[in-house]
Order: sequence, then structure tokens, then C-alpha cells
Amino acid sequence: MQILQFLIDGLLLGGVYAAVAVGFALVFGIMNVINLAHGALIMLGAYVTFWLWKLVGIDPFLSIPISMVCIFCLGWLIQRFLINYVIRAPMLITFLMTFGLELLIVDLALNFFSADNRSVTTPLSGAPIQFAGITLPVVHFITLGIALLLTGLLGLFLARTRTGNAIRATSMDLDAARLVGIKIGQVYALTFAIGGAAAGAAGSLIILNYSMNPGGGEFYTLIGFVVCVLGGLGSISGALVGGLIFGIVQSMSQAFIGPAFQNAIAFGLLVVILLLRPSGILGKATA
Amino acid sequence: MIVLVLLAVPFAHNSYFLHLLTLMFAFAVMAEAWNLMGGFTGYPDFGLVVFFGLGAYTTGLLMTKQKAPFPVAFLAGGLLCCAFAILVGLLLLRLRGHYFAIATLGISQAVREIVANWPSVTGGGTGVSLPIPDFENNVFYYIMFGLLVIIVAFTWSISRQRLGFGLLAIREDELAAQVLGVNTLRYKVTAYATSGFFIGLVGGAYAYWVTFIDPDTIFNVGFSVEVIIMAVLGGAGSIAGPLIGAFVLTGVSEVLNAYVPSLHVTVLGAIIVLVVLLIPNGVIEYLGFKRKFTLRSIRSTLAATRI
Amino acid sequence: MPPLLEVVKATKYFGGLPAVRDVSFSIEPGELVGLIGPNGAGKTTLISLISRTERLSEGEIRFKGQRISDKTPHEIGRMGVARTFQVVKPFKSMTVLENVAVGAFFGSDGLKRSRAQALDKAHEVLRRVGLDRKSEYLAHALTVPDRKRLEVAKALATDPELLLLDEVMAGLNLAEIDEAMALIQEVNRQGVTVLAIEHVMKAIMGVSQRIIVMDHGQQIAAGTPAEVAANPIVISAYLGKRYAARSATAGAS
Repeated sequence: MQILQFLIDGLLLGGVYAAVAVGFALVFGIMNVINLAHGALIMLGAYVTFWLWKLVGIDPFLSIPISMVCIFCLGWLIQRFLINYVIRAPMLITFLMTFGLELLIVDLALNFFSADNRSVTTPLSGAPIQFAGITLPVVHFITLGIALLLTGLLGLFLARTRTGNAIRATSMDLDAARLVGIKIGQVYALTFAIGGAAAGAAGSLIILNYSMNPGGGEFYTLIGFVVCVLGGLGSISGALVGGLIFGIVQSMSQAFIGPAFQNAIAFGLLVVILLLRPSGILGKATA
Repeated sequence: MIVLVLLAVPFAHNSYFLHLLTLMFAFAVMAEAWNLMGGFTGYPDFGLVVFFGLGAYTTGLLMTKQKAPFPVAFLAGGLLCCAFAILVGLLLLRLRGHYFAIATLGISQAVREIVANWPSVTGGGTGVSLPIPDFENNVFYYIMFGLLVIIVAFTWSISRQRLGFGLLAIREDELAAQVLGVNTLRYKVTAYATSGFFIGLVGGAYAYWVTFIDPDTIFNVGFSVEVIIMAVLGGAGSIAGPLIGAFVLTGVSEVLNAYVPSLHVTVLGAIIVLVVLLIPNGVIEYLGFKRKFTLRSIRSTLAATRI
Repeated sequence: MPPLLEVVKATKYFGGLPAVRDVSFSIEPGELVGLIGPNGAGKTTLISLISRTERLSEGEIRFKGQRISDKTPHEIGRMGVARTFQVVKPFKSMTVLENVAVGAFFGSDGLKRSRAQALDKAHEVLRRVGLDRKSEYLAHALTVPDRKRLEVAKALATDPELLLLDEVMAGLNLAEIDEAMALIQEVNRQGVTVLAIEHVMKAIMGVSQRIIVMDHGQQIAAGTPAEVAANPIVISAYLGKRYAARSATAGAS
């Protein structure tokens, strides 16, 4: 029974991780950009939810679309006016640019929001669901649902809509996409913006389930990495699966080994996967 | 000439200046060391802080637990980093480009976690306190300066010899280099181990200089990126570039700290973004007057890498 | 004395597809052999198998009697096997001289060379291919024919005994093709064994002593240029069965 609880806990944790990783995976998969500022965008999303809740009293779950829109816009601006200019440069350059953005955003947040840890509560925060000896905190459960929903919607968008197809085409063959009239600059700006929206949603979910402070986003960028590597760099469904698996791994290792070496295990796993199967669990095997 | 001036600095008895220059030299050594892997060989190491930390901890632990004298502990730190680099390199250097970068990042953070969670050996989160040095800060100044001279001389010399040609060929086209007879794995590991060795030495000296180290400051992720930015700002792949970048960025950081301490990271971040956008090849491009920094040159820089 | 190169039942699968199937032949020292065949025949794959940039699925390849199929590409480069790439691979940010110097530093005798000796060797090779005047140009600034010359120069700087050329003449105009032919012949005369993949028929038929023909991964014919040109299987592979039948009846009547 205990194991089942840990499993469930892991799954719920995984939901948050999946939400974090999906935006990261999209940007990496389509544009081959590793966005080191992803965590900072998540943090901003969390703060949108926080301030709306604190100052205007909006229910945190309801503010998720708002934070998504806000970070969508920010992401669009960042891509259109900064990253688009260095996107054909070696990967090192985009790495450095997103890192610089991360420093900037986090420090500004530190100055304007203070370093205090913030969290929110909802009417649902209290009573957990109980059945068969398993405790299921309601908020966690809804979070998992939202994460699955968002991933599903994103997948549908990419597969079924015209814009989504344009985005996928661009990632497959840039020149061919250009030749059929796709405006690459706009596609990239849109893609990064959607990744931002996903980050915003993830941030809102995180502050609902846990807490956030300006420096808290950095941890989630790392999570984004590990989960994407696990599930297959660039694959959306991989991000989902990877997130859930990683959540379970963390939960189990916390249960059996204790919290101390958790992160070391995470990083170790990252390296091992890179060595053995860099394409991840759902990625295509490279020759 | 400049060398003579720099050698004489400690005698000016300005301890702030001495401290600043020592720090600049330290970063310059590390930027040059990173340059061997990232600039020359084309494998950007994003976990270089692991060598800094390992060097610092080796030196610190040998001095506190084994009562080893500084020179021994110092060298041991560098050698341990060398061995670590060889082991890790043999594993990781089979990965291409960004996978290598992520993997090195992962390794550096894994090591940090291990060090932080192993109090019996490393003192864990509480850190290690080294004995107070029985010589003055001048010595550290000379140590860092000496390391800088050595690594610049080394880099200059290999750039003209087989090793340098091999590394550059690997950066440009690894497969083409292989068919010409370059043992790419051996060369990459050599560059990685050398890089690690020097960074480890800096870490060891740093530990004794500040006399207190703990996992979170010594294995800080941002540290790796700062060093890389210095190399890139100055000009990755050149010999003098990283040095210049280190001096400039450390200086700018000091100035920012003095005048806008609460926003200095913000400004630093903005500088990084601008540097990467406008001078991705580093200032060294403009220093030889081969190119003038005009609106036109900015436009052509952007045009080269934009959509 | 064993042949310089022996390819024995070489087979390479990519996934389920056999790119090269059961190919066997040998090359004696000093030969100039042409390798032709329709696109997709597996010619480049074969070259890659010899230089070990691809691994054999089955079969064996021997160089000077020694098995090379389990060596690394750089070891084979040092043993005296050099190759060019169909899509040339210059070291773009380095100068022409530096590009060739890499070959001089790492080729068969390269490890003994000092910097001065390597640069001298590089200059000598550049003179042979006609690029010496441009030795200080950056590689990415070269024109297509010059890039091809550079590709050959890099390979020559390693002092190879066996030179594998992959469509060196693609993209060259008539005059440049003549120059390339002359260069290949001169290199061969100086003792380098050459195996050249080509599509430019006039060129390769003109310089080769022997031709091997591949189609769909298999060797379908071998012989002198004249023999191969008249071989109905070869004609059929290039021009289709009906043309082959027509020209056979035309020849008969």
C-alpha cells in the first residue's frame, strides 16, 4: 500500500514536471534552442497568478489562462527581437543569450518582488480525497489533469491546425518551409511564445502546489532538461511521459534512499541517458 | 613591458587593487583554460566549475585533514582534476555539441550534490575552513599571474604546433579531421584534461586565499557561464581573447557592484545579451583594427545569424 | 606480394536495406581504377566502408594484407589510405595552407614532422594542385573548383598509398575536368594507387586502367573501359533494358 502511495505521489509530482517540460521541449524540438530562461518564465507565470490572487482576489486556477497570455506575449517579444537574431549562430551563442536573459529576469524579480517565498491558497486546498488508504490531495490531482489537458491540446494544435502544421514543417526542413511560403520569423516567434505560455501555466500550477520565489525557477529549468532528455529531446509526448516517469523516480528515491541524494540521482540519470540513448525514451534512435 | 609593471604591482601596497587584479588573473586563467575546449576544439564545457570545486576541495581537505603543505595540496588538486577529466572525458567526449554541454552541466551539478551530501568526507553543507595562510596576499597574486603566463604561453605554443592544428580541425569538421589521421578522441581528452588541470589549480589557490569554501558557492552553476561569457566576449578561439574578456568583465562587474549593487546582476545579464547579440565573435575582432565597430558592422553581424 | 586493397564479400545494411551487397574485388599497387554506376548504387558507401567511416555488416576489407575493417578512421588515415568527400569538407575558418598542413601533420609520416616541415609539405602539395597562390585565403572564401582542389590537396598531404576519390569532378566545367584528369594521372604516375568514383564518363573512362561497375549495391561488371562500355548489363543498368536490347540488335545487324 505504501508503494502505491509513493507511486501516486510520483505521478502527481510528474504532472507538474510534465507541464514544466512541455514548453521546453517545444522550443528545443522546433527551433533547436535550449532556453535557459525557461525557469525564469515559469517563475513569472507563478507571480502573475500570485499577484492576481493577492491584489484582485482571482482564484488561482482561473488565473492560469491569464498567466499563459502574459508569458505568451513576453515570449513572443523575446524571440522576435532577440533570439531570432542569433538563431543561426552556434548553439553556444543562444545558450549564452538565454542565460543572460535568465540573470536579468531573475534579478529584476528579486528587486521588485523581494526574495520572499510566495504561495497561494484556494478553496480546494484543504480536503484531500481518500480512498483505499491512498491520500490524493485535490489540488495535486487537478494539476495533473490540467497538465495532461495542456499537453493534449498542444499536440492537437500541432497536428491538426494549419499553423501547427506550419510549425512542424519548419522544424523538419527550414528551406522547404520557406519555399512553400511559410514565414519562418513568425513561426519561431509563435513557437517560443507558445513555449512561454506553457511555462506560464506551469508556473501557476507550481505556486498552487508548492511555492515560488525569484530564484525558484532555476531548479525547473534543470527539471526541463532532465525530463526532456529522459523522454526524448524535442518530443512533446516525450516530455509528458518523461515528466511522469521522473516524478515517480524522484518519489521512489525519496522514499527508499531519502531526500539527500535526490538531485544527484537526477543529474546522474541525465548523464547516463545522454550516454546510452541520447534520443530518450520516445525519441528516434539515431544511427 | 606590461609584464614588468604587473610584476611590480604588489609593491604599490594597494590591497584593493591587488585583490582585484588577483581575481582578474584567476578568471583569465580559467577563461583561457575553457578556451582550449570551447574555443579551439569546439566542445563548449558548461560544467567547468566542477574542476574549480574539485581543486578547491582537494586542496582544502588535504590541508585540513592530512595537514598537507599548500604546494602539495595545490598540485594534488590540479592532478585530481586532470584524472577526473580523463575519466569523464572518455565517457562524454563521444557526445556531440549540445549533448556534451548538457552532460557536463549535469556532471558538475551531480558532483555538487555529492559533495554537499557527504559530510563525513567533505564537511557537507557547512563547508571547509582552511588554515590561515602564513604568507601575504602577494603570493596569491603571483600564483595567479604565474598560472596566467603559463597557460597563455602554452596556448600560443600549441596553436602553432600539431596539437593546435588537430584541435582546430576537430572544431571545424571532426570527420574530415579523422580521415586525415587525427586521433580525435585522444586530442579531445587531452584538451579537456589540460583545461581541467588549470582550472583545478585556480580552485586550489582560491580556496587557500579565501580560507573558506562550501558546496553552493564553489560549485555554482552560474560561475561556469560567467567564465564562458568572458571567453566569448573577448573572442573564443583566439589566444588573447579570453584574457581580455576576463579583465573587462571582472572590471565591469566590480564597477557595477560599487555603483548599483542591487541591480548589478541585471546589468550583467543585459551585458551578456548585448554581447552575444552584437559582438558574438568577441572584441578581439575589432581590436586589431581589422574591423570598425560601426552600425554597418553590427548589421552584418546580425545578418549572418538571423533568420 | 598481396594486393594493396582487398575487398571480400563486403556487405552493409542500413536498417533493412542492403546498400552494399557481397562486393569483392582487389586492387594492385599502382593501379588507377574507376568505380562507376547509377546513383544510389552504393559507391560512396563502399568508399566509406574502406575508410571505415561506416562499419561493415559482413565481409572483410584488407589493406596491404592487414585487416582494416576493425580499425578506427584515423588509424586507417595514418596507414596510408586517404579519401575525399563528395560534399567537400574544408576547414572553413582556417587558411588553405593550414587546411593542408593538417594533412601534413597527421598523415603517414606526419607525426615526425615539425611545424616548418609540415608547412613546407603543405606548400609543395598546394603547388601540385595549383593552389599555392591562394595559400593564405580562408577556406570558406574559395570557389567550387578550388574547394575540390583543396579537398584533394588535404588528402595528398597525408602521403597516401591509396587515394579514394569521391566524385571529384562533379560541378567542374570542361577545362577544369581536363585539369583534374591530368592531376589524377600525375598522382598515379608518382606511385599513388587511385580508386575514383565518377559520373563524368569521358573523364573516368579516359584515365582508368580498369573499371568496376556497381548497381543496387552489387558489382555487376569489371574490366577495361572498352569492355565495360560494351557490356550489355552495364548499358542496361544505366540506360534501361530496352535501350540495351535495341543497341544489341543494332550492333548485330
